[in-house]
Amino acid sequence: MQKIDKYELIAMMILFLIGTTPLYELGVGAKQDAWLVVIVAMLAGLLLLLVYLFIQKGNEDRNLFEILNQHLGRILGTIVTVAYIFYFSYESMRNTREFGDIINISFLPKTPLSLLMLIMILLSAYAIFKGTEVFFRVVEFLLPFTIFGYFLIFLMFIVSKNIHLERLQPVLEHGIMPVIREAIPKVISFPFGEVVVFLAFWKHLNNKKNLSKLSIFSYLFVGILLLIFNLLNLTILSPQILSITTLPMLRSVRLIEIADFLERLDPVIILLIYIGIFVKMTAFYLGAVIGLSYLIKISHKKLTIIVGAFIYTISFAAPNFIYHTWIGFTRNLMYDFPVFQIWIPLGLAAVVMMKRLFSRKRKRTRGT
Amino acid sequence: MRPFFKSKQGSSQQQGKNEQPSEFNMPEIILSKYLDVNVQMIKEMTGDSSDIIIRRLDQALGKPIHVAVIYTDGLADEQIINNSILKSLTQIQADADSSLDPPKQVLGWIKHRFLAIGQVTDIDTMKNLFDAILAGNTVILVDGTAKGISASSAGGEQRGVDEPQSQTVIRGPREGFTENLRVNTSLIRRKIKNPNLWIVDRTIGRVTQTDVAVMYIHGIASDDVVQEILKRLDRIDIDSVLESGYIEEFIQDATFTPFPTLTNSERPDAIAGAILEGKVAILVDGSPFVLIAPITIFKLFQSSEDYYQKFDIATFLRLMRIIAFVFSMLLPSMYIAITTFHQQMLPTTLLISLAAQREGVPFPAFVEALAMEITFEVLREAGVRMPRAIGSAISIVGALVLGQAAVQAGLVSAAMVIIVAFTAIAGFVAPSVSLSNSARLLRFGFMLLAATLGLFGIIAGLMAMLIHLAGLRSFGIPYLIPLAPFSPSDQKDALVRVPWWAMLKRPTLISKKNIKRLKSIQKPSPSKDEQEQEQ
Repeated sequence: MQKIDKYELIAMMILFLIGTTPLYELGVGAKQDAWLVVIVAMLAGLLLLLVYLFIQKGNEDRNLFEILNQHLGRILGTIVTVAYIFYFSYESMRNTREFGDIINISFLPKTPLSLLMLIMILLSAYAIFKGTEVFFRVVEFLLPFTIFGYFLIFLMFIVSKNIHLERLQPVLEHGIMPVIREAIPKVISFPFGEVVVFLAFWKHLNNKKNLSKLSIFSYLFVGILLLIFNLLNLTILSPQILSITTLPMLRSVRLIEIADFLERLDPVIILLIYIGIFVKMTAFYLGAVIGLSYLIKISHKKLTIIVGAFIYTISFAAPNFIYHTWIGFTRNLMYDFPVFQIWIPLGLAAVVMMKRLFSRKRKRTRGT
Repeated sequence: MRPFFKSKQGSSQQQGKNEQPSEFNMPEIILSKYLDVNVQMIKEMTGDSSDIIIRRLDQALGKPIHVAVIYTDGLADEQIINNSILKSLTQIQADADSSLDPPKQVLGWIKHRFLAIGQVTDIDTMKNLFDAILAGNTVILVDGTAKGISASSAGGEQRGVDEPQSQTVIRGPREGFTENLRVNTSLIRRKIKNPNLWIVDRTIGRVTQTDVAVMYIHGIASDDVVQEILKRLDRIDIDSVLESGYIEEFIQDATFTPFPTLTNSERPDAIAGAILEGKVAILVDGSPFVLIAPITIFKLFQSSEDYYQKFDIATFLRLMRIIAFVFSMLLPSMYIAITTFHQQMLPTTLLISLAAQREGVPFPAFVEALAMEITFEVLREAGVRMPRAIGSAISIVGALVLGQAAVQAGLVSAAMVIIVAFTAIAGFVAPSVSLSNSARLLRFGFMLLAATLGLFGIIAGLMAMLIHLAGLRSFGIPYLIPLAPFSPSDQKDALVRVPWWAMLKRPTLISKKNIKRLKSIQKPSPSKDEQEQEQ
């Protein structure tokens, strides 16, 4: 079996959660309180993470699909497994399309979108083709460079004197409710709830003792990083501009101007975003492959090709980028993703807990 | 009738198959009792080669005994033969009492009383005889006995130990390996005086019978790696091995990769250092290039000089090498991508000056870069082949005609010449030739990607390269160690080099056992008395 170690898991969780997130302004509906939305969502997401960890702890050597079939029975288990395979493929496709469109809009307007997305899918397929271990190693290698890159951007934001802290005021203008309504379930579902895919990978960790500690540590690290970038966007661009910008990060990076030399840094941010996108889409892709391999017993290589072709096909579903993001933020995050990120895991956790209680009771009655 | 015919055909084919590999193996012929027969057979089997010397004596040790002394001219040391063998046989007189039963005892006399030579062994077959004389030893045959003796006399003309040509250093030993296997093993032995330095011999090459030695330190090197290397060596079935490159292609982990999974060095100190880290060296007779396995990509950026210089400059140089490697791989493609797709990335003044330069150039940036790169590769190859005397001509042709004149003629832009020149120089920074070769090949791939997809193409190419590297292994060791998989203690000697007194452990993921290098951190500090004096 493929084994991953603790550094690989940390790197994976951090880069996965960063993903495309810095590109968008989370919780922009709450205007200048968007950063509070991130905090609330992060804490709520932490509870979700604990639920996932609880499920994994009870079934140390099984992945999500094995757990589902173990606890929900064969028929229901298979149905939910298929649903998860579609969900993971859909998430992977969302990332593919997003980045394809960003590149198409901001860098290569004359290159066909289909070619850009094909290259991205092929790269992900290549990584999965090589196996889980290799993919995790790639992510581990990318982590220091990515963190360094974000740190550099952060430094340049400070040096370029674009930050206006007064734009955060007034705090909680309309009370706490708008903040919570923004956070749940929108910001939980993207990006925090997406950790659900790790249920498919956690069983590969070689030393499971530290699982919870490592996961929570990386989760909080990313939470703080996202919070910082959320604040930066807010203070640099102001909530009014943010609410009408599709890609706020690209816009604020363009404001950096140092010594008439360091300017137009969007390629750097695009590179960082690409790393995040690659990690995220490949992780979901891999989750779908693992799920399908549980259902159909054919070779890993064939499955990679099948799932890849499926993701590539559905990535043409949206007619344009605006529609794609609109569907994502208004429909998927509100109604579709919470099913997979919140309701099914909660149900599963309940089943696991019930079973444990019953088996303990049975043991006790047998004992006396 | 038919089945019989068929089976006969089949059996003859099989026989033919069996015979082929043994074509060059010496048949097991036992020596004859008669000297004439033996000498005739040797002459027949060697085709009467002029360098196989057969010296016959009709009288030896003062008795009428027929003796033949056989050796290979050039491999054997003539002085040893003249002084220690022929002199003893012709000048010394045997005692009177020993004349009783000459032929049978003569060999014993020669061996035990008269031969002033250290290593003497008995031989009784033709195979032993040829093995001995082809190794430079001298064989003595006596008429009347079906046995002979071989006396060690290897020597002859040999090239002395020189300074290595390919990996020169400013500080460090000036010796390099030679073409002789024994000299090479002794150069390493002199550096590691430890009985745990083990050598395992193999003979590879049906025709050439080339000696290959595998050297490692028992107890530091991983047993799995050693076994794996020996297994792969034993699998080789080839007619000839003329250089370690033959072996390298047979035992490397992945053939279709631009990156080397084995590296080589001409420097005994580099090899000794590698062996001490738990690596395994493979020496091939006839080649001064010794193979090292397993390796990781960061090892390829290290020079043995890093360990002799102060740690701060060594760290700086290592980072420089990595940057130079990236430049030599990506610079032309970056230029293509930025000038073709992403002009907005350049500061305005630079953009204007570049645009002005490119105004008269009739080709797209990609064609321009490709032409210049190919020109440079041709110049470089010509520089290697060209006789020394005309070497200076090439620099004039290269620099003036192809550089300046091409710019003045408006064929290429001046910026392009700068880019190509810097790329070329950066390519020579890598201490390992095999690594700079991989950058050389990848450069063209990246240029193509940049010309079609701009920066996105370069990023995609880098990602594909990274996935490939992460999947690569060298004898079971992941290629990106110690960054992926990450190992905190190995960071001391990867991208940076910490001072020697802080390098507590050997690379842990290569040699899993016996990793302790120092007992404790031995940070040098002035003694207490001195400190008090200062106060």
